[in-house]
Amino acid sequence: MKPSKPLPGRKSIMVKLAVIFTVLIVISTSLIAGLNLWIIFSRFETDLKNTCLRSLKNAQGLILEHAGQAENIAELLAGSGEVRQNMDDGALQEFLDSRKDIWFSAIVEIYDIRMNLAARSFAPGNKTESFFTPPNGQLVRAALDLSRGSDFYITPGGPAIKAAEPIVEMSTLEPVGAVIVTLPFNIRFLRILKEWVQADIILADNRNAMFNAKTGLNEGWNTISTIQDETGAPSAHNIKKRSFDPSGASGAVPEKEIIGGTQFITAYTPLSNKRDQVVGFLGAAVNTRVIEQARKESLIIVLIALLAVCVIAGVTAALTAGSFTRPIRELASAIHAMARGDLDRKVHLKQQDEIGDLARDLNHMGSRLKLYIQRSVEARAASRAKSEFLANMSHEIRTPLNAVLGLTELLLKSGPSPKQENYLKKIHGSAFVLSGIINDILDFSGIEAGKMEIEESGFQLSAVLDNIQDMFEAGAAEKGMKLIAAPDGDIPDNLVGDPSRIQQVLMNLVSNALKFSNKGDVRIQVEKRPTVDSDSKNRITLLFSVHDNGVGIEPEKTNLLFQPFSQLDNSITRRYGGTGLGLHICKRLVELMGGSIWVESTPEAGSSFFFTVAVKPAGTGSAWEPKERPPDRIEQTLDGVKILLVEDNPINRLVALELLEKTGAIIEIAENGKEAVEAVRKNNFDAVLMDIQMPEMDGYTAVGIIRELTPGGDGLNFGRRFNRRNVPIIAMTAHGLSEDREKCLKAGMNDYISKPVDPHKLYQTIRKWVFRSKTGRPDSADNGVATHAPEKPPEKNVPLHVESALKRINGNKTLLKKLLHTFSSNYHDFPRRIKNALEQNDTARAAALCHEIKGVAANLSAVPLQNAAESLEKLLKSNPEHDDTPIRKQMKTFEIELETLLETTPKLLEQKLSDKTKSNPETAPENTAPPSDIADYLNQLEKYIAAHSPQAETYVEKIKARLTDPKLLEKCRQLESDLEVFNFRDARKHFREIADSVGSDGLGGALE
Amino acid sequence: MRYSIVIFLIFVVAASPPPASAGPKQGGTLIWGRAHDSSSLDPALIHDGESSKVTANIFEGLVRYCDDGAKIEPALASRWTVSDDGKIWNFSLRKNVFFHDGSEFNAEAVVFSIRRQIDPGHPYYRDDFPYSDSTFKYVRDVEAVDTHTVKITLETAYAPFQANLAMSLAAPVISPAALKKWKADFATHPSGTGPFRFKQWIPGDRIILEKNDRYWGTPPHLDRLIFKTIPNIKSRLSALRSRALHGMDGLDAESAKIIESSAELKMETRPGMNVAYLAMNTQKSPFHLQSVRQAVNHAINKQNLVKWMYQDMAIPAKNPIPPVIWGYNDTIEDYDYNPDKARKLLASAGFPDGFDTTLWAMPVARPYMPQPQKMAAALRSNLRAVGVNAEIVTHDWKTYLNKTSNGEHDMCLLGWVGSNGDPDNFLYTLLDGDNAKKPKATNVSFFSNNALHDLLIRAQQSIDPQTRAKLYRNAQKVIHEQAPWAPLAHSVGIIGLRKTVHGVFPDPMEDIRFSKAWID
Repeated sequence: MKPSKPLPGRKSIMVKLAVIFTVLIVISTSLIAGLNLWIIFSRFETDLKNTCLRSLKNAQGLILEHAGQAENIAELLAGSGEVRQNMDDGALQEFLDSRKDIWFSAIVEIYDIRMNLAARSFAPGNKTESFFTPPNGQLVRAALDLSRGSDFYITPGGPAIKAAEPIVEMSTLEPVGAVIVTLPFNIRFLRILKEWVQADIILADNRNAMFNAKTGLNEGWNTISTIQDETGAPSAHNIKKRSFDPSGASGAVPEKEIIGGTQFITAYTPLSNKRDQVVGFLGAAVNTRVIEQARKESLIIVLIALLAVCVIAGVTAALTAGSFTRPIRELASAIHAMARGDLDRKVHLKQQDEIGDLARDLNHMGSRLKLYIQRSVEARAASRAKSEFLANMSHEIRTPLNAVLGLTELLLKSGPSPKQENYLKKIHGSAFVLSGIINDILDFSGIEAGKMEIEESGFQLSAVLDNIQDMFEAGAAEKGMKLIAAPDGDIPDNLVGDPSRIQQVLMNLVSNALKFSNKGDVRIQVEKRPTVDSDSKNRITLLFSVHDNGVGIEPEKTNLLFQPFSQLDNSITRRYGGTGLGLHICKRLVELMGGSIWVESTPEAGSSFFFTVAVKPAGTGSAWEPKERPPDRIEQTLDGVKILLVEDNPINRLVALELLEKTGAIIEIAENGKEAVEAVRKNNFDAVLMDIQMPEMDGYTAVGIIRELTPGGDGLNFGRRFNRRNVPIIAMTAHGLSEDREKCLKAGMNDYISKPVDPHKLYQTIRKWVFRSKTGRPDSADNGVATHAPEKPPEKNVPLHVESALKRINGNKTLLKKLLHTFSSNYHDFPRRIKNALEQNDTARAAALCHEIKGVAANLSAVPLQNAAESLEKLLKSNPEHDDTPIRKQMKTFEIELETLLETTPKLLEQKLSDKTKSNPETAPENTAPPSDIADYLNQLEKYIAAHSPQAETYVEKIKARLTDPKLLEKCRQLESDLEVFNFRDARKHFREIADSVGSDGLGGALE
Repeated sequence: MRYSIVIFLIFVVAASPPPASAGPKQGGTLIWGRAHDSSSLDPALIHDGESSKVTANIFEGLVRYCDDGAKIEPALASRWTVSDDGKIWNFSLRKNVFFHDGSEFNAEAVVFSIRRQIDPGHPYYRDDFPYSDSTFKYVRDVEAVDTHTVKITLETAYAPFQANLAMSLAAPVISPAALKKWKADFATHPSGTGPFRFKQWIPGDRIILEKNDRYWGTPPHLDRLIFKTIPNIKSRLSALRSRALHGMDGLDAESAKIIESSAELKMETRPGMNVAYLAMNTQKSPFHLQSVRQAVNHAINKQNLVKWMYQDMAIPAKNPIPPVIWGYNDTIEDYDYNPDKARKLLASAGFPDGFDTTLWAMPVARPYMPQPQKMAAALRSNLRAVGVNAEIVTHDWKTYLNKTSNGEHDMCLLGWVGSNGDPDNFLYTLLDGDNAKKPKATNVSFFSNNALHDLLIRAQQSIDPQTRAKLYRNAQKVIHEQAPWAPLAHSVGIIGLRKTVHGVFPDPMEDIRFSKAWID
């Protein structure tokens, strides 16, 4: 695998290491070399200084030797009998001259006892006479007093060693003269010294006086040296600045000194006489030229060596760095491969060090990672399977639940006994709760899966609030509580947002409020909040609040409220039920809608739940038009609309049929996709309601095939309003996720209705597609947003708008039935009472009666009666003159409407609430002709029993009607009772017995 | 100014260096430079000052001279008594004194130390102990009375015995255990009771001593004491000036001048406990004649000779003992330089034309005589001036000593360095007939005079110092008149010190005491 592309500015570790190693090695080597050089140089200098000191010491020793020599000469001469003999006769000079060679450069002087010079011998030269001994001096005087020895003396010519020896007359031991041998410190002597000590010699002295070292050096110093400039004159030496050890023996300090432009190492030592008087300074000077050359050579050698070391260091560093980075690169490449998913990649490094450990760990990590990923994939698959399972389960649960709900409602309409009604209500209530729980779970799983989407559509706030009120008013009333919705006046009614979600949240909060309170009111307030979000001016924030006077919540527990699966304590679940998901869902929904939710509560005093929602006002400038509020009292009509209902589940089919038939639509049934395709191929439909999950061919496939049908297909339908393939197809699915909706639209469907089917939504959706199509836009079915306000369907003059009435009482059909029953028993005599009142000219009472019945009729959604009562009331009120004609006429209308209502209501209720079963046989799954004889009924019955369908009962009755055998009738009754309690196992047993007794052939096969 | 140095030196001697205000400083190493290495470290075997210079710090005797040399004080013997007849000496020994090898000092050790030198029956007796005879003269018996009392019985009353016991030669007490252990090697493994103990001897180079922490007296201030041998006097002086040495001895006149003028060095002198002399063999003709001997004395220009030869580092001698020794007779008037008188005396002695003879001269310079050959030459010239023709004879040093002890010379040059500070040590040893016995004569003039002998013996047997002094003064008078010698010079012993060194005392016996020395 290729390593990552180098980033700009990226530096390889190898380069870094190589540079670091090189720099380290070079620096340390340079340091060592520098140190070495320094040591060598200082060693050179030290050597030179030592040489200088040695030379100085040698020179000193040589001077002492010369002094000893001078003493010897003096002693020799003084002891010589010839000298003593010649002292008097003046032949001394000759004697000395003849021996001149012995004393070389020394001056030999002989004085007689009177201190007169007797003879003097010397090598002529530069100012030699200035070194002569003064005849009357201390030296001669002392020598004549038998003192002897040598010492340094200052002469006008400079320092000198003078050795004195008395000449003694041995016979008497009386001194007769003195020999003075002078060794002048002249340039000649210095050259001799230089030759011996191999260094230049410098002598500095003061001609005028001797100085004690302690008193320091005075002016007037004179210097001679073997270092001479071109003119031969001695160079100047700045001796005064030099430090000396006055004792002179050990203290000479060699220092650098520039003499005549050349650098020397010089050292000086004082020449002290025996009285510690300094007569001059003797210096040795070594030219530094010697070491300069050596220094240059060493420098060159060291530099060359350094260069070589640098090169070697560089190469070594590169190699070393390479050896370090190679395994790292291998590791990096392996990691890179792993990062790309090649977890089988292994690093093959066997080295037993940290990198080796790393490699092994990496290999181990790779295999572990692979295992984990495998597990993770499995886990994800399992999770997906669970999701699918959940979705399927929801479908599977909803379907029978719908059946339970639907059938319970049907049963309730069928006039059960009070006991049965009680049970049915409980069943219905339980199923309703179960449905809510399932919805919660679906919402939760949708939210958790991130699949919950918030719609933006126009809605009316008042409608949302009305819906809430409709739903909970009755429940509140039952508990003796009131539900009050109080939106602020400054909130525009037309808004854009997700009304269903807002409603869902409100429902949740209100139902909680009702659940946990037993007194007072539940108040819903809506306020406009100043928008914090400044990025959009046309957004407003609505603050919804739900207040109750219930049990309240401990403040410390409010945080827990919105956590999933949490209720304040387990006892609540026991007492009040619920999944504990409601408030969490609310929270998530609110958050999705850009708001927040919180609670303020005082235990035992009540709670206030608040939530904010960001919505847009549906301004005139907006391209969006609010959807019409579904008219409560208008019966949706789909008169003459030809609809193909594709639904495999007979119960769902039954419910849908029930919903659709009453709109006047013409329904055709298909039980699966295949049949649907066939149906579409054969006939033209204004709309197709398509289930998704079906045997043989599912909805998606069917839609795909329909959309592929050739226009005109077999030619029979050519010229019809629609191309068949463009028929609006509306999906009906229990898959409550918007994912499914997308899938449906993608598959070519036009719209989507989720099950359980909301009748209003069903009508609305069908109308949306059908009427749009009918207004002359046959080919614009894909035109997404309806721009026209759908015209209200003509008010059909039905005496009672059951749905509306039901909605008003929260779908409580039993209550409706009761109300109707009460109504019929209480109000059937109202025409007579009104007439009576009129006869008694009590129009006010008549008007009041009219008013009363008007209100009741409005509540019952008995629009014609309401209108009639209203008109009558108006007439009564506006016509105090008792103009009978219009009143009588209107009275007649009123009477007819009331009569119609009272007459038709049971029938209507029958039809709407329970008699729907009657239509089922006609819309049997097989879409075949209704069974005409008992065999057919048995067949049907068998199917329904097999399908665990409650409709089986219908057939039992039909079969019962055709049987005479009391035994069989008894069996039928048993079967009926089985079916009543949904005991399908026994039902099947009893059916088998009946069928066997009837002797129907072929039934057995059908029952297998 | 000729005597100025001597005067100065005497002044220095008189005024011992004042101790520094801070008091003695402890510790440190003192390095002493000297001309010769030791010959041995066994006090019984040594015979020279260089050896005793070292052993005097290692060993102690029963008694010792006090620092200024004026009198004898207790050392290992805390007190002692002498019987009325002067023959029985009882010494009470110090207790809790230990030798350097750890063994205890007691009466047995004293008996051992003496017996091994005088008792031929002693297992460690040797016949080559040079000073045993003179030191333990008249000792008949030595015995331990108890562990800490020693009784020494003399054959006769002998006053100098006390001084003899103070000598650093022969007299010191050694550790019997160490001797038994090392036997002959004791000479290089000495063990005594002194303030310093022996550490190491690098022959020809140095001897290292260390502080004896168990010293019974006040332990020395110094940690170490090193005797460094530097034969060349100039080198030695140079070492002293360059701080390589703290002190040195064996200075000559020239060195003395240098030290005297140095700001960092100082000089201390000790009394010239010596004499250089010209001995005339009185058993040989013509020196058996007193007039001849006197003539020789008159013939020598002693003043010039000493000045020329010693260069102010000695004083002319007129008596055999130096002036610093008690009993010195200063009333004696030396023979003046008078060649005429000499000639007259010779003539009166029967040698009007003089005579031929030999003058023996030492081959090596001695502390008391720096230039013996030159001295001999000068003397010869002086003598020739009066008609005495002396041939200068010399031998190697050992032969010279043996031959002169055997009386083979006519005249010889020799000197004596006092070893115990007693006049007896000079007069009896060098001039009594008792010591004129060939071949081991210390009296090389072989002078034997009954009057003198009587005086000297009486002095030996007398205990009263006054009496003794008087006897010695008379003895000097006899010697002056008899003139067996021509006394030549008493040279001054000088030590040079760095000024940072204090408490070094040149003792009267030419040894140097370091037990109170310290360094700034």
